[in-house]
This record gives sequence, C-alpha cells and structure tokens, in this order.
Amino acid sequence: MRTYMTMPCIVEIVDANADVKDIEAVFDYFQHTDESFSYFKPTSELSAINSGKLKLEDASAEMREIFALCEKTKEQTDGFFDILQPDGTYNTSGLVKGLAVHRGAEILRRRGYKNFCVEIAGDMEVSGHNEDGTDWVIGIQNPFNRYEVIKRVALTNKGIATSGVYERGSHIYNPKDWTDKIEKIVGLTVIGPNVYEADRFATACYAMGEEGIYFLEYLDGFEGYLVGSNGIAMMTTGFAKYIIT
Amino acid sequence: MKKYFLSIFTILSFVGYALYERQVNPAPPLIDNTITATAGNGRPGRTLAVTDIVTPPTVTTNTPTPEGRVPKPIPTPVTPVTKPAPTPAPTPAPVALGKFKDGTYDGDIADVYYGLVQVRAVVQGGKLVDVVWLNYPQDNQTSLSKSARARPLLTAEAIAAQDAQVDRVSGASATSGGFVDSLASALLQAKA
Repeated sequence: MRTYMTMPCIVEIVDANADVKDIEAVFDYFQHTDESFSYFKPTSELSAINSGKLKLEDASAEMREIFALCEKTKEQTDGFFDILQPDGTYNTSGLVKGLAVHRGAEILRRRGYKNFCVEIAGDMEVSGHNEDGTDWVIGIQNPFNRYEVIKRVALTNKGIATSGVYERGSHIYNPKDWTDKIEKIVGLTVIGPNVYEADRFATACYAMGEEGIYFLEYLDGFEGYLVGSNGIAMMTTGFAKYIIT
Repeated sequence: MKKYFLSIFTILSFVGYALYERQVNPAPPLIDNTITATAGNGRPGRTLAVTDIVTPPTVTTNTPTPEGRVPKPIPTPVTPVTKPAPTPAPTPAPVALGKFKDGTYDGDIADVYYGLVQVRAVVQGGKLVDVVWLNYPQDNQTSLSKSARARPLLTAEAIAAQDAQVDRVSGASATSGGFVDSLASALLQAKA
C-alpha cells in the first residue's frame, strides 16, 4: 500500500506493489489542471479567456470541453449551476475540481489499480476496498465543527462530494440570485457514480438551498445528505443504505 | 419558468377557489396574504412534516389582522368544497375576523395544459397552514424541473457526533470553492 498525503490532495493505493510513478502521474495531472483552470492565477488559460486575450473558440480542446460540460450542467440543474460570474468572468472551479479528481482516479484505473482513493479537499472517489478489505468508510464532517463526524457511510466505486460553508463564510452563490446568501443550509453531501458527478450536483443543489435535497431525490444514481443551519439534516430515500450505524 | 409560474398560479387559483366556496362574501385579504406567503417561497407542493422541520413556519406568516383595518365580518363557512352545497349564510355569523374553519379541503382536479393537477388546502387554527399537491404531472420531464414535482417525505434527523473512525472525511473545505490557491501551494509541497 502506498499513501501520498499532501493536504488537500490525497492519493491512497491499497493494491500491492503500487508504483510511486503512478501516483506522481495523478499529481502531475492535478497540477496541469490547476495551471490551466485557476481562476486567480494570471497565467492560467482561464485567466486569458477572462481577460479577453483568448477567445473560447481558440482555446484548448480541454478548455472547450470544460465549458461544454459546464453548459450541460447548467441545463441539467435548471440554471443553478452557472460559471458566469456577476462581473462577466468565468469560474469553472465548481466543475473542474470534481472532474480532476475523477480523472485522477481514471489514471490509476488505466494503470491497473483496483483499490484506491483519490481526494482533493474533502471530495473523493473510492474504488474497490480499503486497507481492511471492506468498503471505504467515509465520514461526513460536521459543518459546525470540522473536527467532528456526523455520519459515516460505506462506499465502493462511488464519488462523494460536499458543498457548504467553511470558516471564511459561504463560498457558494446562487447564480440565479447573487444576493441570495443561502442561509438556511450549511452543508450538502452528495454520493454519485463518480466524484465528477457528485461534485457538480453538490455545487448546483447547494445553490438551490433547501430544495436541493428534493432535486437529488429524483436524480437517478445520486443520494444526498443536507444539513440545515438549524442542525437538522435531511437525507434522500436511498441514502440510508450507505449509512454505517 | 413559465410553467413554474403557471403551477404557482394554479395553486393560487385552487386555494382561492376552495376558500372562496366556503365564504359568502368575497375572499378577505387574508387569503391573498396567506397565499402570497406560500407562493413567495416559490415551491409548490410541500409536505407538512418535512418542511416544518427545515423551514419553520413559512406558510403560517399571516399575522392577525389589526382590528381597525379588518374588512367586513366573514360568515361561518359550512360545507367542504368537494360538496359544493349552497351556503346558507344570509346572516354573517360573527366569527373571528379573517379566519377559516379548520379542516382539509380538496380542490377539484383540473386539466392544465401539461397535465392534471389537484391541491389540498389545510386550515388549522383558522389559518391556511399548508397547500399540498394531491395530483401533479409526473410524466412530463420536459415541462417541469424535477424538484418541482410532488414532494416525497424525506427522513429528517438532528445531527449528532458519530464514531470518528473513518478512512476519509468529506466536508466543505477552504479550497472547495477554488481548486486554486491552497491546492497550488499543496502541490508545490508535494513536489518538494
């Protein structure tokens, strides 16, 4: 087994004879993604688009693909996912992060690994089993106390992502109403077929506020756990099957 | 969006109709106020138990009308809407102002252009406290967003600390919004 843990990125391979080169390939991919899609780095390709130096049609195939996926997600979520910021710039991070983790996991799969976990900052994709030979045990962080777990779920071959508030305050906006502070909920965890799917719907459904959990209820292949600012949580019907009591 | 508004408008129509049927006089302002509160939430079809937990009383926002501004007294409502018997109330009974009779009132099934809809109005303590979808088109995915359908009753619970023995923790971190900044610095550490 080999674990590379450099918060917030963790790559853990359970399979025997894991090669550090394979883990580095994942990290290289993360770094490449960050350099292309960083909203803040002036050198990123996304910044070139946002500054008007680069037109989307002239951008890399990868960039155009991401924009297309963002547009698809916007349509699928009734506009609650939108990379267009109030100032006219684009911020793709609500989708790129989950996609990067998922593709990091794909790199490991292509190289023959079966049992591993790839994570960036609380969003992760788990494959096969953990070191104990059981499903991966994932805790849902208490939005009111980051050192506490309020739920444990057992997952294999799934993605899980959480959107919510953190110490510096809410970081998710409602793109349909930028003045909406989404105050009634503090955390939404989504389990999906992979972390790309889980992450983009966690972002969009969080922006829906309390409605997000109902959206997830009807979304095939997804389950959700929503924590309200009053400390009451709601879960989708199928979420219970993952819970470790 | 248009259909969404249409849904809300349909609720308003039915509830208004249901309550109107129970009155001799035109619906008092309370109806409008109450329904606006419901529709202002923008969400059709709520289920009492769940929404009560998560959104405390969004539908019970109608405050008692101040005495001086109250419209004419309202006769006692008598029969349920579903059996629209003539209302025998030529002499308005002096009931509490702006109040409805407690009970559950089902509206008629109506055919809107995207399907059949029916709503139920719940009156408690003289106030309209809930509007529930009894019938709502479920088969037309293109016309309605999924979350706008009838509501299931989802499990709700108070959060509580659990055994912290886990492989990983999923939570909103300072980097979630960005995939930037802290990730970049972390990668530099990883490379070092």
